[in-house]
Amino acid sequence: MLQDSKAKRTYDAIVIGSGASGGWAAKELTEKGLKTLVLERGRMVRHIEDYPTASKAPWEFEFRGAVPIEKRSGLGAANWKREETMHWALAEDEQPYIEEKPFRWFRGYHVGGKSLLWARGTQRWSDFDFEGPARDGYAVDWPIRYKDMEPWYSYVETFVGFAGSRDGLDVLPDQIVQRGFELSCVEQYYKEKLKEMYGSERHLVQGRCAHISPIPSRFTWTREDPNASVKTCATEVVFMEVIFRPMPLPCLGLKRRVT
Amino acid sequence: MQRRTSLKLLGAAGAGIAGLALVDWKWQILDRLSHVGFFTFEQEQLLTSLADTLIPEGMFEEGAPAPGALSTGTDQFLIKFFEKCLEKEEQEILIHELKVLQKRGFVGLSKQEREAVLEEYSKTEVESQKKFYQLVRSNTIFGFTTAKEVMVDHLGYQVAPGFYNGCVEEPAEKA
Repeated sequence: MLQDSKAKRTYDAIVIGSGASGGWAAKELTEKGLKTLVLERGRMVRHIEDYPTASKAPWEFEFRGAVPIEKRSGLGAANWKREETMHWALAEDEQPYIEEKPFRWFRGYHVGGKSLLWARGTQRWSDFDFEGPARDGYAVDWPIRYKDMEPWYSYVETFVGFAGSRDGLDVLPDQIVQRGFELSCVEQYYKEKLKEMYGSERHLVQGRCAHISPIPSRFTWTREDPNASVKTCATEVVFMEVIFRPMPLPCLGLKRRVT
Repeated sequence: MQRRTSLKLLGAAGAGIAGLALVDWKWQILDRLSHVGFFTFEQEQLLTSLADTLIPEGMFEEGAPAPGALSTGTDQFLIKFFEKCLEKEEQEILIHELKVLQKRGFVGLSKQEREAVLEEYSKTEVESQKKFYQLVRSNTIFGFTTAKEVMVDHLGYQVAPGFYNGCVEEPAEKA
């Protein structure tokens, strides 16, 4: 009772939802010194502890990843056919909604919300997108354009860490990225052919994603002891590659060696 | 007198048990009678035989006791999978075709004959046979290639490899 004072229960800001938007809002508000309360309707999800399937190999699932029929009902639009991700699906009788026209609504119901359901695809919108409604005559014109968003895109990207290529396309603006994942041989060939045949009209761009990209195969970072593992330094190495390239920086005493 | 009768009974029982052990097929009768499950005993035998025909032992190396469908338990996986993960219509097609194969005595055929039957199925135009073959074949491959032994020892599976090489040079002769 003595603990439960009005002062303790008063917050500078209340954030509803702990998903991608809410999580970021809470981070910003708390970092700027506001006492923030985050309300989440769903269950707690602790990072790593509450990812039941993240490290499971395929044979560790009863049906190797396929979902038995009995578990597939009652999930509505979230009728995922993968055992690895089923536990995030929301039952359709939990807060049902009326669908007068088709409306596939994926919802999270846990800490992290849809940020645990997305496929980590991260591209910046360009003016082509912001001008879309005005140009194509639907909905309402965006009150902002790319130049308004640009600094905030950079702000978020610096924190999160995306992987991708910088292609210099005005319809898919360059981002602050780590080195992108390599294209496969087929994709590379396809890209070259597209360029040959369609020049500046069609582009093949590797998906930009919120993943830590691997160290390219031609570089290896090793300690003085060549038998030591490189994995522990991966994130720091890649981050430094992007920001401080081409200067090799020491990383806990690792030396850069080109193999 | 009671001791003699009881000894006689014991002797008869012992002989009976010894007799059972010698006559192998009697166990199968017991198995058949006591079998519980979605598929009948014969259907399960058929699935085992199909899996073995599709992916025989020594898959990766000729003659080596390397994994095949049976040693990796793929047939058991198929039985479970077909019971729990198929839609009703697909299950009906499956069971219908299994009955057809049962009539042909598939299990008793030699390896070449079984392979010939499956070749026939792979080229057929009959819808239900096509569907059956596709179901059995793709799921046998699925079950086999996700078995632990196969993934770890033969397919180079690692939980977190820590690298991604998009384009690698591979010798072309391994077609």
